[in-house]
Amino acid sequence: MSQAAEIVRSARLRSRLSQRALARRTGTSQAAISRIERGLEEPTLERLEQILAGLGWKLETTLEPIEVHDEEPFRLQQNASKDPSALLEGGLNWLRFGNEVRAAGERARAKARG
Amino acid sequence: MVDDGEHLDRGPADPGPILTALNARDVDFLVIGGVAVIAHGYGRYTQDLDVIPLPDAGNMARLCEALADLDAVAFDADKRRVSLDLSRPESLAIGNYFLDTKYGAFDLLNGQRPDLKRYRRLDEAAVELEVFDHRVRVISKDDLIAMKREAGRPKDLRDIAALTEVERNPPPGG
Repeated sequence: MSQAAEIVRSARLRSRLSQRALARRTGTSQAAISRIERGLEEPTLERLEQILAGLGWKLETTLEPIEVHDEEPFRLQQNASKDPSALLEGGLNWLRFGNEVRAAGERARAKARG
Repeated sequence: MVDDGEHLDRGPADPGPILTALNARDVDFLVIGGVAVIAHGYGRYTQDLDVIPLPDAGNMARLCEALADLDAVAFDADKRRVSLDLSRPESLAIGNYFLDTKYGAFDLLNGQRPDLKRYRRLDEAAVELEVFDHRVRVISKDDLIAMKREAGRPKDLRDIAALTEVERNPPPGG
């Protein structure tokens, strides 16, 4: 289901209205509301706002940065069968390598800044 | 050829010798993926070295020699071992290869076809770093973000978020 479909359906159900009643309020057909709710039709932002207004809801769109989380180690499954001491040593090697790469990146940026 | 469930008894991973092997054979490549993310300032953890090799015949032949030195074997996306024909260097310039070497994970990410023009464009904008006495070319931050935006997995979006955090929240007076 598309995000618009979920929003329209959720707003309509929370308003306890049928598709037919919503269609009457928004000057469209029940078939059109059904298509939107099934994700067969993607309404424009303006049309979505009109539909929601007919239900007494308004759409708020804000810019939110994507949250930053620590990365999960890649290839965990592959590592599961390896010797733990080799894994630890390999992990430390990667950390050393990562630190070296990060430091090299910092040196390059400092050089570029003059 | 597919060889299910084969377990390789490898020693501890160590990316440094992978670079040594590539440079010893004069292989041209661009670093992308997690190592590039680290190079551009987000100190996250990674355990594989992802590169795009220069897709010309001579370079791919040298890459094959380096892969032989590294005792590389290939896996598919389901982690099943697949054949790696080092006698046909040109075949390694097409598609992606998830390799396991005697020094750990090393992935070739070519895209669907050899694209020399794309490589040249990426190389032109790349930054050169000196890592453990090796000169390494790393894809530019803008190209890295574009690649990660295209991949679009949650971890790619998190990388973009981290890489652009300073742009969103510049330090006071910055």
